[in-house]
Amino acid sequence: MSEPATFYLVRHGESEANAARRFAGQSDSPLTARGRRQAESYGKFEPPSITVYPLDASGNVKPLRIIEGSQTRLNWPSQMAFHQPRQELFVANDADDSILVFRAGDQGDVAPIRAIKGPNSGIKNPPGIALDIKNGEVSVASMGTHAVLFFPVTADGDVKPSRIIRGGPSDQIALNIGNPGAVGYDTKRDQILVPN
Amino acid sequence: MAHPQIAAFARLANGGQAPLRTVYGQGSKLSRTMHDIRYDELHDEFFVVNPFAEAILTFRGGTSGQESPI
Repeated sequence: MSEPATFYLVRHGESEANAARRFAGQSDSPLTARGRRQAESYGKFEPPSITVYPLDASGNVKPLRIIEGSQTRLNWPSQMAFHQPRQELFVANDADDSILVFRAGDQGDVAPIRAIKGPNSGIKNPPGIALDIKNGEVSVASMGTHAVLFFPVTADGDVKPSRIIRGGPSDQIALNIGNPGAVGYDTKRDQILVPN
Repeated sequence: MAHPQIAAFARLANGGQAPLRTVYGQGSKLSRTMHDIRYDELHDEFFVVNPFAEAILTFRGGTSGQESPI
């Protein structure tokens, strides 16, 4: 018996009525240029990647480097932070429940030099990450556990966080932090900023 | 689930400590799904994204309460 087929149904790309925020009902509103591009792109799988551009890039510029492939472990990479003194790129890797660290010049299908991941780490669907260069820490917005977790910048593997900010016990809802979507560090006030 | 807000905690906060300040309310123009925030030490400002408004909001570094972006 053959493998069952999987169908992905897409209703349509952006229509002129959508763009005008107009209710079109069953009328056949034509697609906008953006809608045509959306329709053409559906059905393709674009693997997760990190693309690097010149700082002054503008327009349809080819990336200088691309980090992409199964060795990278990238899976829905979200917020990134660059550690200038260590020349390392930290990546909140949302769908893999991990924090990945790459060398500044990495490209192609390369493995991260370090990865924080596992049940002890408490990282679950991390969309955000921030670096505290002065104190040598990385803070992680862990949306799946409604918390912000702190690790040394050198942390690797399934390590426990050094601190956790959370509005309640781990088995209860957290009122101070709902769904932390990112994390930032206010160096002047020595405060952790958590949009949630 | 809380309304959209930015909560600022002491760097060494641990456990269930309350935030030192929060930014919230309609005037703040904050939304859900804010997936990036960056502090600019040079200008003492921070930037946060609002994906639903397709906007980047800029706040004073010490913003607190129902303040609007600058």
